[in-house]
Amino acid sequence: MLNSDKRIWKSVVCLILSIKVLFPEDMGPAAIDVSNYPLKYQNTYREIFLPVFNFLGETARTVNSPETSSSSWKKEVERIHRRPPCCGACPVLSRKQAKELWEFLVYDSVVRKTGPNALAWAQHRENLLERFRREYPQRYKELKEKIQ
Amino acid sequence: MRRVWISVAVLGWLGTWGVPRVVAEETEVARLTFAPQVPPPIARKKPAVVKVHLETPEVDGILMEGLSEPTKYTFWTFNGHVPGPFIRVRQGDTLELSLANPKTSIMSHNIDLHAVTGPGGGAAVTLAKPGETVKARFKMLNSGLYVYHCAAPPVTDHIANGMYGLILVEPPDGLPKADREFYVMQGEFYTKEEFGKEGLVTYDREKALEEEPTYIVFNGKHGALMEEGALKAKVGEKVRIYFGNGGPNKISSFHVIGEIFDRVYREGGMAEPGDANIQTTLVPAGGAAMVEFKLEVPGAYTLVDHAIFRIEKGAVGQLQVTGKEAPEIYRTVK
Repeated sequence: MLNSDKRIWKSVVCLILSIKVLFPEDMGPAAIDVSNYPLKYQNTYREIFLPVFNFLGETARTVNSPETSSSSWKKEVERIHRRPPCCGACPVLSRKQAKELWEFLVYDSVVRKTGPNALAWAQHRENLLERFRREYPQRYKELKEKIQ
Repeated sequence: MRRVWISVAVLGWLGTWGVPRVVAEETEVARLTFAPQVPPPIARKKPAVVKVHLETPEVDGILMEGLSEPTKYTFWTFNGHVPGPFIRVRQGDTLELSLANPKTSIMSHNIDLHAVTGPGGGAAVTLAKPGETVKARFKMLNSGLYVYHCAAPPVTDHIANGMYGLILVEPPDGLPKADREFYVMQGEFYTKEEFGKEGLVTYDREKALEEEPTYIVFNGKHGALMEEGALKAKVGEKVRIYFGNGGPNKISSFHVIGEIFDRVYREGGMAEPGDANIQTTLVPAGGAAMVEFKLEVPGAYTLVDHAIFRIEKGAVGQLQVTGKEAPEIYRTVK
């Protein structure tokens, strides 16, 4: 293969990989340490959270989301719950599972993002935003304009 | 003398020729069912007087389940349900309908059955004020699958709040056998509150005029045919769905994902043999269609209005099919 061809393929691969990072949250970890969570939340994490968000390709985005409020998580879970089972391949949340997922997300937000962990969380968010701004300046600008 | 009496008897018997015999028609009470159930096929080979009793209560019910509390709505109903009960009769029957409007209703109600020939489809002779009961008889002249709905003024509001259902008039020889029959009816709801708002939501006439529904649902409730409400059948069975569209405004593009309709009786007509191999059938507001398909592969099949964004408003349901796999028809290849 010619060097110029190799460079073209490398750019294409990078472009494809880069498309997956749409938000600063996508650059953070894609897992939560739930070992100290109550058993029911550990089960929800393993049986509902991971399968659903892995399928949607949004695990990191959800783990590192700035959302903390019960109402905003409720909206997010309802969006997923009402996703209809059209092709037979998508994970379908039952009402019971949707409620369990919502409760988990609220509990997790309180534990990781507030109280004694609030400062560490804020620092983590800042680091993500700074990295994102450096590595994806165009996209950062788009998102900033959208928010404003 | 004996010969005289025998002659009189013979003459009397002969005299009855040409005199129409009045044979009392059989009378029966219709067996009514609520969606998605369907009453069993009519076994009779002769017409009968079929008695149907309907009531028109206004009912506080659930339009959609929520994560913390449901979205509730005040439905106007036939017999407490949306859609109203499935009525099954035979061509040639006389439908004797009594309509009782509870004292607690705030509105007058009546009924227009698209199966009825005569002013208002019956509406002109069935208007009942709160506390009143009215009765009428209608001859079922034509076979078909028909919508019925309240037509009390303003008819728009009465349909928009849930007063519709289906009546099947079987042809004299009945319908070909189906292993499973289901009753599914699409309808729209227009609310002042946004989609998904929990608690009691209220009817928005302006949105209805603009034809911008907040919810488009099967069988009167978002998710009625999902989870525990999903339809069930087995591989090898012939399924028939009586599909109605109460509207009030939108045309439905009815489709079952993963299936092709072996037969469609468009717009409720009964002309044999129907249309074959239809993927999606249009069902107008105020119309109905009968669809049939045989199940070959197990799995989950999704009923939709294929104006596809409507599935996010609730126009989606599920048919769960169990049975032997059919890898010669459907499988992955590794």
